[in-house]
Amino acid sequence: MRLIHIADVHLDSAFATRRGEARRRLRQAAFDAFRRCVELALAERVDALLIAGDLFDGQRLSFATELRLLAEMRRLETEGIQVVYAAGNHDPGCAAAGRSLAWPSNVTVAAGDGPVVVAVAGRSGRTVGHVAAIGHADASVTDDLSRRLVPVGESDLPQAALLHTQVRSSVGSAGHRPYAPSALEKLRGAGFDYWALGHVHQREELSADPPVHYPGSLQGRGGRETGPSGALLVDLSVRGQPTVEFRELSPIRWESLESAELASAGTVDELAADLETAWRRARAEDRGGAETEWMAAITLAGASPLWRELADPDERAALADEVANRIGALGCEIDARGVHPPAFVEDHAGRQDVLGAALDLAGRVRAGQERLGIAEEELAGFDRGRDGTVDHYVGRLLAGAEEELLVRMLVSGR
Amino acid sequence: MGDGRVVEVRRRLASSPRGVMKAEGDSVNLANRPLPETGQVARVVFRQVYSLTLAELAGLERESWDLVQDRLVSAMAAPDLRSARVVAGELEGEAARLWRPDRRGRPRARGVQERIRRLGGEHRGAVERDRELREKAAARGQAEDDLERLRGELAELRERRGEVERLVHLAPVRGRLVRIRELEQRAGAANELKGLPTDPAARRAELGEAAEAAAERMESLRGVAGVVAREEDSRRLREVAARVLAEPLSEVDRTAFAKVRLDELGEAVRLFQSRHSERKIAQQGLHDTERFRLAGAAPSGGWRLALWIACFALGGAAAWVARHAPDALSPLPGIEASPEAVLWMGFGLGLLGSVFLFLWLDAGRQRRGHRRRLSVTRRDWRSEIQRLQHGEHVAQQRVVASLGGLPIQEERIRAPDYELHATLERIVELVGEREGRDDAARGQLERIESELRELEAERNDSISALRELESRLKAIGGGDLVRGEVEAQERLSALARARELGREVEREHPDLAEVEARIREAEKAGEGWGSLDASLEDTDRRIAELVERVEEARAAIATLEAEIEHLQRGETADRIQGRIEAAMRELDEVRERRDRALLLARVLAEAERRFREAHQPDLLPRAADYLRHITLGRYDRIELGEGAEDSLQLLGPVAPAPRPVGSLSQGTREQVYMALRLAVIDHLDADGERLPLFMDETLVNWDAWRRDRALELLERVAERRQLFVFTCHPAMAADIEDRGGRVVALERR
Repeated sequence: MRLIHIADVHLDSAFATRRGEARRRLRQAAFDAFRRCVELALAERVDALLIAGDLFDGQRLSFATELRLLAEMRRLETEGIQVVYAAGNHDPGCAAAGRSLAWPSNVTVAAGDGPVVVAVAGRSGRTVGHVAAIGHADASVTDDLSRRLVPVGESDLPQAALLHTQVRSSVGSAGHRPYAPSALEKLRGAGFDYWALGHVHQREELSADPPVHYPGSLQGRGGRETGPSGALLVDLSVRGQPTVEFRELSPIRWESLESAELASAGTVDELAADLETAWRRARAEDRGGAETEWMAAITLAGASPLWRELADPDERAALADEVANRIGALGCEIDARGVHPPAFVEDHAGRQDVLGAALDLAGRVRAGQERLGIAEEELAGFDRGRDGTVDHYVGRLLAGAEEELLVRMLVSGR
Repeated sequence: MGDGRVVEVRRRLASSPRGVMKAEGDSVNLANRPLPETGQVARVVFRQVYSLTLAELAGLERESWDLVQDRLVSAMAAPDLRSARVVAGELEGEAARLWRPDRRGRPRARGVQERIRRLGGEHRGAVERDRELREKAAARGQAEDDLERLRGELAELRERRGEVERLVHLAPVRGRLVRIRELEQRAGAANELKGLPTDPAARRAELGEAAEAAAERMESLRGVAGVVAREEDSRRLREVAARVLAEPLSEVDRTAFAKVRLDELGEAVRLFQSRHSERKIAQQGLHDTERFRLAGAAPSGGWRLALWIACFALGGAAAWVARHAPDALSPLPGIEASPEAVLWMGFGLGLLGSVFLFLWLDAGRQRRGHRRRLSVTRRDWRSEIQRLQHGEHVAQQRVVASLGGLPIQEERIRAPDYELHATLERIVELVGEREGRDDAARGQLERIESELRELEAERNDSISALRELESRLKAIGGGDLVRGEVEAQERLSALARARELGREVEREHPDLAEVEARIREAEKAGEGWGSLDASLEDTDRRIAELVERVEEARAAIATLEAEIEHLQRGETADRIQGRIEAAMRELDEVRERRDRALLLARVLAEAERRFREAHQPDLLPRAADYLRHITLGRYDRIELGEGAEDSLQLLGPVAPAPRPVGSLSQGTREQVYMALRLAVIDHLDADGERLPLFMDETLVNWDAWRRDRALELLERVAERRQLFVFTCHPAMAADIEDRGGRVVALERR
């Protein structure tokens, strides 16, 4: 039984990039990646396509995308390729705005009503294996759904399990909320020849025997989902000798670049040139595909004489656009929260003046050793869910405060 | 040093760190490290605070006193520091420009929030658009299904129309085929009608007429043949022939006339007449003999003489009247008789009288003959009479024989006379004339004979055919000839019409078999042939309706497609959501930047407050003390004023009411500045070694009085710390030297 395993396609999900063109391309890229997946399935003449959840954002699936999605499914139907689709937390019930889609007959949906078992038919029409799947009924599943998947008894045919879950030990789970958690050991002992998982957007092999895989998102969605994205081509034809092969499908790759060497760039143009150089150096080692489009996620940290410019969203946006144009990227996102003025606080430590007092106070407040007496209501950006406590939020905000105070207070800092 | 130690320090006042300290015989390489004894004051502070320059004082003129004050009080006079209050104000201003808790101004966050709200509206619009798009697409699908269905109905209807149209075209054919069948049915068994004429009655009449005609023709031909030259319409010939023929001329075989031997007939007639006359004479003679015997009278001819006389008389009378009494010639009104006419009438009468005279003379002759005969004996007369009667008989025989069978009147046979001969001669002549006049007449006779034979045959055939026809007609009519005639005619007409129609149909439809097959199919399908036109009309009406509905459906689909296209042009909800999320990230960032700015401002404000609280109590009295010295007691107190600015104010004998320093003269402000600087310096190293103070041309612009006061103050300062005064004015150096200072001349390199 030969399968293609994908997950987290997130068709029609919102991209919060600045550039409208980048947003448009990223949105299109998600569907292009899916279409490439269908073409891969057709070219490889696989027996089934497994979709481990979050195929689309249920609340935002547009009519046009829905039509195109169903058309791609019909292409697979024409060639006799079955599709098994388990709902995730973004598409619970496999529904769009509460409405079921008119899936063609080759699509079996595990919409959250319970486990489904699909007998996968090969080209000859004979059953070549089974896929057990279970989907999310709503967006806040907290149960371990994997326990409800059981292999078909007394079958010599390969069996795969399909599930949108967060395996607790997975590397990528750190960045995700704990939806439908499961344990790796239980998955490995369940008796399936292959676990096709979804939810974590980073490709990861959790186990080789039996293979337990996250294919990662089909198209990177942000700076934290860097590297090539795509699908897993799984061959379970030989029992006990499964092969899992990654195939890049994403038209757009996110890549990150970190730079802490900002002191030498005295102008925005110089900084852009430095970033371009760093990018090209990185690309020399990893060129990507011939038609790959790039999204750059640049993180700047450290002292920079351009700290004011980098603190200004408009200036930062202009720099990002300039860098994107220079490196030929679709778009560029710059995170400069770690940038601070090129001031040496230690040189001014112990000053017996208000600056010294301010530096000392800022450090103490940032470290949580002192409070300024600011009420939560006075803070415009405090989010208890995200920041926890006011002290934590204040401490985060005052990162680099000494440097800034120094620069602001010093006449030479202007 | 304060404890009396002397420490010697050599440093290069350059960027390279070279410094050596010697104290109590020890030499320490300082590099660029500060002197251990100076640790209580940061180098940067020392660098800035423990040097007082002319520029600083000069800058007081330009700078706001509040800033100066802040620098002095909060920054401990560090010139490299900006006013904390100002910086805090800037931060608060930045914070306010980013976000405000109230609705004042237009902070950036509000713009972003408005953008988010607007995008929210667009998002709702996009969701609604998507919903509407789906509805429109569903409606279009339904409309397309409807259109497809309508097209199907229309196609079916058009096919039906075509079928009906074909049926309409077939209907006449069918009608004719039906009619043919009816006619054939009406015609019945064809074998019964085989050979029958289409109009038996006419045929009967025709046959009858043909027979009659043939007979007539035969008769006519016979007539013609009998009398070749005879004109059927010759009245003269008929009149002539009527004199002698026992039958009408038309019934006499014309060829019989050819058989008449006129010569023999003439001879025979002459013989007969002769014999008859002789017999008559003989008989007369006998009679006369008998009468003469009896009476012996001879016929007189006296009447002729009488008539002759009468005529002459009359004639003479007429001539006399004409000559002598012409007035008596008009006996009758209206009739004119001329003397000449009466004369001629008399002449005519005379002539007539001559005739009677001749006749009288002839009678005389006859009397003489009669007398002669009388001379014959009665026996001879009887014997003569017998012989003459025999001769008459033989002549009659010869006449009959010479007639050739021509039907002659009996009396003519009994008494053939010259008239008979003449008439026959005339007849033969007339007929002969014809024979002689036209050779073709002979041929015509033959032809006539031939034709007669044909006519005979024809007549016989006609009669035979007629008999047969009538027989068949009777059979058809159930024994009734008339009925059979009518029936046969109708049946034949039907058959003929059926065949004619059949030929028409075959001519017009070479594919008749196929046409008939289609008709059979239609009939099997139960087509109402009688209502095809109505069906066609109804079908056309329904087609028109469907066409209209199809067009409406197309228009509806086109409208829906235009609406769908229009809706698809709008941004999708997810893209707008992306913009919303980007805006929300921007809003988060704006808020955090605002909060950070606010925090920094608070830090600064708090730091300054604390610093002031910590240091100001010591600083201001020190400064006031210096100020009293430097102003000779005019001002002896420095206080912080009330209000947000916390501006310094001076009080003293000359200022019982607080005077803000900022409102005082430049010179006074410079004095206050110096007092504060000296107080800051004292405050900074109060707990440690008093560090040296460096002054560079600081008092050069002061007036003499103030300068003296300042130098006096510096004299006091020098009691506690080293004081280095740099000046290029010898007077200043001399003044300081007079006050106990040591002048060190610095050579220009």
